[in-house]
Amino acid sequence: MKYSYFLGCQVPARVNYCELAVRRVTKALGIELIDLQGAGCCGCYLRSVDFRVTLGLASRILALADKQGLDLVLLCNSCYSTLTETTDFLKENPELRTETNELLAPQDLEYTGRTKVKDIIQVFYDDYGLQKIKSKVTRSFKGLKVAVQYGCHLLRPSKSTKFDNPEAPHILDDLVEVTEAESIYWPLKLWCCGFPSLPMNREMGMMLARNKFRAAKDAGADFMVTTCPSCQISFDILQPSIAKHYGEKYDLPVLYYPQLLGLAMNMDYKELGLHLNRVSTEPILRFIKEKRIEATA
Amino acid sequence: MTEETIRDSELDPDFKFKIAKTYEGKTVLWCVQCGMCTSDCPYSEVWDVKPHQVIKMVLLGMRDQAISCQSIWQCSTCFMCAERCPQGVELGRVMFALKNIAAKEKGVPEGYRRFGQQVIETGRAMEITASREKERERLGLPKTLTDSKSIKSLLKKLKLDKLLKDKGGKKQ
Repeated sequence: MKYSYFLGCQVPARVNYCELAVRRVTKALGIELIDLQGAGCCGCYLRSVDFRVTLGLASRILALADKQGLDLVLLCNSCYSTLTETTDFLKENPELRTETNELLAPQDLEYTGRTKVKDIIQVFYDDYGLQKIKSKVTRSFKGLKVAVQYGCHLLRPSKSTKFDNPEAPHILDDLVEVTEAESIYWPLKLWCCGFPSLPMNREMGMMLARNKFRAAKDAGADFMVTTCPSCQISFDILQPSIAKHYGEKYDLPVLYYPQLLGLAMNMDYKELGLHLNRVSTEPILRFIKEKRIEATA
Repeated sequence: MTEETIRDSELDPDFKFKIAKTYEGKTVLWCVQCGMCTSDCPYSEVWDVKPHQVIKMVLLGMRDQAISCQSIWQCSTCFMCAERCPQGVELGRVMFALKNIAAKEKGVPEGYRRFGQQVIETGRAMEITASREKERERLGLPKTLTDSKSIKSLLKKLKLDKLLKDKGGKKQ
């Protein structure tokens, strides 16, 4: 299993631990990731400014992957929806495709439409397979309750992203439950984390994250699991400042899914970057430790 | 939305067709004002102009109000509106179409201008600081290599620098 691997902007700028966990876990599973050389911004941030700027930047990434001849794997939901939507725009509008290829030609690049765009979660679930993932799990999280967060841009717009049932997704829930932790029902599961609003209005972005912390806590979550680096930044990196802003306390650990999978595969927490999460992951590590004592007793 | 008299003479009846001709806004005419988008929008309770009202402005030809309202810029682009619209209106995309016009005519808001400059200069929307690069090295992660020169020349052709500069004086 070999893929072209595109990191995006957010991960190296804010959450290197997400990438660390992905690299360690994929290596352990025998999934090979080949870095997409020369790639930059997918254009998602500039879609508000100009449609064609985003189309140009996104097509460039797709064309680079075309050249490498492998399916493209992403960590970032924003990149995922930008690239899947761009694929649709180029497929539905031949004149856009011509225009785009004229733009890319001087860089010796061409959008051919061959490349499939996949989120790392789809690689785990569809390509590697849920049952095979389950067979690699050696550590049980039975007794822990998880609030899972898909993030908007895997699920929507579903016409382009084609990720899962947008109203009742189950892929991440299933992947969490291979660890025997329980994926709980929580009311705001499908809602936005607020991250995309932060550059224009910090307060409004924080409001959405706060609503989600409260909903997850009320539903009895021990921790949250995300698939999206933006959600991860909103929930983990910004959690202390949001708590302070509202004079509240959440103390809700937030794991990026590959971190949980790695732990369930008996990998060391430092190898998965859990010491770099902003909100202490100590409660989860304590659970593992106590469980081990229980098992040997 | 504040109470105000809408004057016929101030409306642009062709505006909705112009939006419908854009790649992002082509579904706007299908709206029947049922309000589903507003009931599913996480910001409905705090916005002066609710999601379905943004569309109504477009349909009525309230061009200036539509491209001046804060809702279009505060939209979190979660696409819940588009997902649940019984008419298939992709409101999230219509918002982008409106923002593109607003950016061109009224200037790019500071937050986005910074992202734009960052991409022009480094090829990435977010700066990877020296301490982040060091962290990557410490963790055994490869150096991030971006072909910023190629990206810069692509953006030059797309005139992003011009877009970011134009109407720079007007703040949103």
